[in-house]
Amino acid sequence: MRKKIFGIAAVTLLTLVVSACSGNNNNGNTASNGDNTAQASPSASGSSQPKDGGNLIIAVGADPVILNPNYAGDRVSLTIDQSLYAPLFQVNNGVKTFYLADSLTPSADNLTYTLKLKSGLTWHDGQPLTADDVVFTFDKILDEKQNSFFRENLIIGGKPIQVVKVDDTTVDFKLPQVSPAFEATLVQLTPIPKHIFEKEDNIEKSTKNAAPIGSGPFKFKEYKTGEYVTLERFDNYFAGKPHLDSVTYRIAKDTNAANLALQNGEINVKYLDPQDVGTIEATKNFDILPYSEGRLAYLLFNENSDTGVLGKKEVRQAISYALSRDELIATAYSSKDYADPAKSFVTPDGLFHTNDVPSFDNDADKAKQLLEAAGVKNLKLRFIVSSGNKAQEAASLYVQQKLKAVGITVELKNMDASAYGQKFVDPNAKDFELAYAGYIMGYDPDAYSILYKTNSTSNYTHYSNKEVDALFVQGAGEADATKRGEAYVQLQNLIAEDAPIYPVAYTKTIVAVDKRYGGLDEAVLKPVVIFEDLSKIYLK
Amino acid sequence: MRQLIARRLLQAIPLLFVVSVVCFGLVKLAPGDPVLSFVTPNMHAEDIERIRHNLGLDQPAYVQYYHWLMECLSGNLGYSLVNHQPVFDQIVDRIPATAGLMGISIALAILIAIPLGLIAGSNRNRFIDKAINLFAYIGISVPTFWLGILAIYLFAIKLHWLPSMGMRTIGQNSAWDIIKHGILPCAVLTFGFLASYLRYIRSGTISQLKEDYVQIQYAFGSKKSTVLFRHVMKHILLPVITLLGLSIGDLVTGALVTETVFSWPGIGSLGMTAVRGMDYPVILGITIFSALLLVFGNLLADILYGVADPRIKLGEVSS
Amino acid sequence: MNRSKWRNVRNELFSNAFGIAALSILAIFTLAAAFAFLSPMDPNALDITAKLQPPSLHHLFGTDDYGRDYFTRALYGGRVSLMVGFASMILSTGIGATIGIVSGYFGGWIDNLLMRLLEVFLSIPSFLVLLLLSVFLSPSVGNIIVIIAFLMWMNIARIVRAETLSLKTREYVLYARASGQNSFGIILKHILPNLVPVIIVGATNNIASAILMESSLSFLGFGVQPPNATWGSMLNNAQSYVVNSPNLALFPGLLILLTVLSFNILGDILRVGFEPKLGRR
Repeated sequence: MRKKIFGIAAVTLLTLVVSACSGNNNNGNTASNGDNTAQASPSASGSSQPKDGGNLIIAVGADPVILNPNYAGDRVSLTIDQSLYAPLFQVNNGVKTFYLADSLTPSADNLTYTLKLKSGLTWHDGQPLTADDVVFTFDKILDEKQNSFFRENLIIGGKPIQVVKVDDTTVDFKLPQVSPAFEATLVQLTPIPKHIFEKEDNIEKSTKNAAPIGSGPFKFKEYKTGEYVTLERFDNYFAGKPHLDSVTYRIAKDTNAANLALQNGEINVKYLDPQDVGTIEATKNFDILPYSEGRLAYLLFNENSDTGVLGKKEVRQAISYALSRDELIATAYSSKDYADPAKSFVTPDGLFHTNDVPSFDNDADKAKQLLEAAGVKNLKLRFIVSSGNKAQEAASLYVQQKLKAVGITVELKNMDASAYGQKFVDPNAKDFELAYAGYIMGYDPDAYSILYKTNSTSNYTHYSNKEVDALFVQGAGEADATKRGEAYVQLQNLIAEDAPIYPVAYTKTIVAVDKRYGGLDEAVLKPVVIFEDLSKIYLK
Repeated sequence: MRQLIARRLLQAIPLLFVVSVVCFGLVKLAPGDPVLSFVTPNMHAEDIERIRHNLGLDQPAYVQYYHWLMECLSGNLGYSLVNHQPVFDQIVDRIPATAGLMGISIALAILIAIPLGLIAGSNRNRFIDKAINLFAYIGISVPTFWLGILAIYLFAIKLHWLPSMGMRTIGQNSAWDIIKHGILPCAVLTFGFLASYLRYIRSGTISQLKEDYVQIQYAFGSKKSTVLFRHVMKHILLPVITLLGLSIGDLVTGALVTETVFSWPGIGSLGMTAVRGMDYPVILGITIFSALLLVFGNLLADILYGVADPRIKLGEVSS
Repeated sequence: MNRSKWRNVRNELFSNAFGIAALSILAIFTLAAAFAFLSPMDPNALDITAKLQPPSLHHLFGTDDYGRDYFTRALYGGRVSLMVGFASMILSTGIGATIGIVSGYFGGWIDNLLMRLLEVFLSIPSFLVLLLLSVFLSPSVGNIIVIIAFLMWMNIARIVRAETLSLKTREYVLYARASGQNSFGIILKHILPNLVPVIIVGATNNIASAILMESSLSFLGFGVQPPNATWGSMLNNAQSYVVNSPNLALFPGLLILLTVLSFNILGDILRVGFEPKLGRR
């Protein structure tokens, strides 16, 4: 359970992580682009010719919760599902890559989206994959009894979308009202086979999930709990036979043990903590690939704690002054290679992001003055830490040491990852002031309103500013891009000034891949799921 | 004899009952709301209450206990909060890995401990005895996880002789492969067991050598080795078997730390994951399972002890 | 408790090379832990420019992944480890001895009840319960001591009970009872003094197991709160760096081994010393 790189917060914000899969979408790219049917052209950069055969072993931190894309919300399930179930299409940097779909065309009034499937698609068991499966999948997501958490995404303005089969390869999505976010929803949803699940009362609890039938480049072979999940090549994969014979997701719960296994050649692909990069790099056997997940790591100020002391803006600013962003990055992430200094609450991949905002940083004297002016003496703060999470542990030790210098005592409260997660998201938790966390909110800045609007569901800081609330409303409803941008820039300045959090860094995810494997560029590094399409990876 | 065994078995039932109440109580007292694991950000308060009701978590504790106990007796240990799989199946799944590791370690430990113990006991205070004795002291004093780390460092990282984690190499399904993975954890566990058996056998040998039958054998001109390995061993063997009974109780928790260090997919790892994830049904299931083993292990030790030495009155807790 | 027994123990200790070694190791470790503050370094001071340095004259044990002086951390860690061992020993011995004496002396339903309680405790998988409790009690040194003590008193209780049972039938005890002395007085005057040897032996072994238990717990990440360390929690961290900095794993482990080993050896020597009928080892 040691999800070290990604704060548990990111994991708890289940749907947020999921929406992060969609990453950069709907940025003015007026859909349909049949010419963007980028079937990832054959390797240009690869130095050696792709060979067939071999096995790839990917370390994952836990057992998958459920191998059914309608229900998967955890990192491990999402990662495995990515190979097991082909998506309709994916979006990278605003460009669509079509998988099961051949095209997606909105009508002139933007109320109907027509999805064309490729022809001749099959499931892993040989049955044809048709419009019926797509309609079935959406019906089941919309079915309240089936408990899929994607359901909310298919309700627009209080009404469900309608999904209609036109012919065997064509589906129409009828929206109750215009929704620019619809494509972002669609990109997360993956068809499940109707012929397998149509007789199941409760798909989530169905025993059929134990031997999933998908449409992705690899089909399910074996799952040994606590050990591994093995997938083998699906020869009829629509985008061409995958190079590898099989892919194994090795369940390695202990990061220490997994790192040793990586060095010992028992694992080929693994997430790395920045602290461990040096050790792994020294073996010269691995490509170290850092990539952005659009994640902000920050120090959280809980204004709702029973002492209430962080309700004062000056105290929050003073704490920020007492810290040095650069030092903190060096302590928690080894170097800026893996973490860009952050000042804005919007991540650089987000629309209207600007890092040119007020920042309180690295001025201990100013910190003391502010504390004195605020009349705060002998301040004692409690800092909750998810034990085993290296970035959190490092940050907490650093913060403790730096705040001591300005006369603030920090008590560290290390707790188990799940206890931490529960406390972090509990709106009534009053027994801590500080926490170190991270979030992935995706492309559109409106997503951040749930974090910073007064009394929002995920407003863990309990920050409240009427002006901010108003700007979020304005930004969400503003059609004019320039005006919208102005609103969000103003928002970033306001929030930075109020310091409800101390933004630390836009962190990168680091993946180590054994140098014997090629085709990494074509497979496309992807937030959360590591690779978008494993069929492209080959043994050199 | 049979009567006594039956009586002890009957006595075990109230004991198990109390233990189950204690374990259930402990888990119930734990903070954190199990319902939260079913909650997603979009849910409303009514949804959460409905789930709570469906899970029976809105009932008083004794009612929950009663339902849980009835389910247990019918072989249903509930469902994991994390992956919603039956706890019973998950435990059964992991038994072979743990039982294999522990079984082989215990067997090896006994096989090595008997000759070493006999030699040490019969050469009291000589160099060989002191050497074996120190070895045993280290065995009971060394932190197993540290030994595990050192073993991984030396044999997996530096020498590349053996794998460092798990039970299988991916893609290979041979018995030899599993053995190769098992060598290090097995060696670490064996060392620990060996040490305690060794001390037991050594002191047993010392006291046996004072018995009349030994003197008689010597008087008849038997060789020392014959006396030791034929006669003394016979008298030591049965008490040693009782140790086995006690070891059964250790089966789950005994290997927990070692399984963690070597990522061995046994019940210990399952328990560790459950504790970290606060997966209460799994924790409870494993706790009950190992309590069951403990009670019956102790019982077995008692009975075997009675068989081994009929002078011992059955009914006392063996020590 | 007579004087000759103590003399016997002393002789046993000082005539045994292991005994002398064990005593010296414990003496050194205890002094080192007690005077840890004399170290010129701060055990919790981060220095990211001096990460993972190998042992040198400046850093005797090297530095850890945050650049903290490992030797100083080991000194302070030893303080916590030894304290946990010692305190849980006192507590568990107190509980165990009390229950053992009460059970053995009064017999009857009290004995029956206490022994059933003991059986229940013996039938609870202790390490699992230890983990569970340390998850939901916030893991402070105090809590760890109490939890370990509550899972460790059974052995002493059993030995003390057996010993009390036999002491109870001694003539001086029977006489004291017949002459109407109250039970409390008899226990204090006649029973307890004769129990001292078994209690000391049991207590010594208990320290050893308490230290081992605490280190396992800390190793799994359920121990004391950072930035404080114990030898066990230092090892937890060390595992990630074992390839390049094996010294981080080596030192704390050695310290645990030597300490536990010393207590175990001491316990055995004491037992032999107190029970001359066993003869010299």
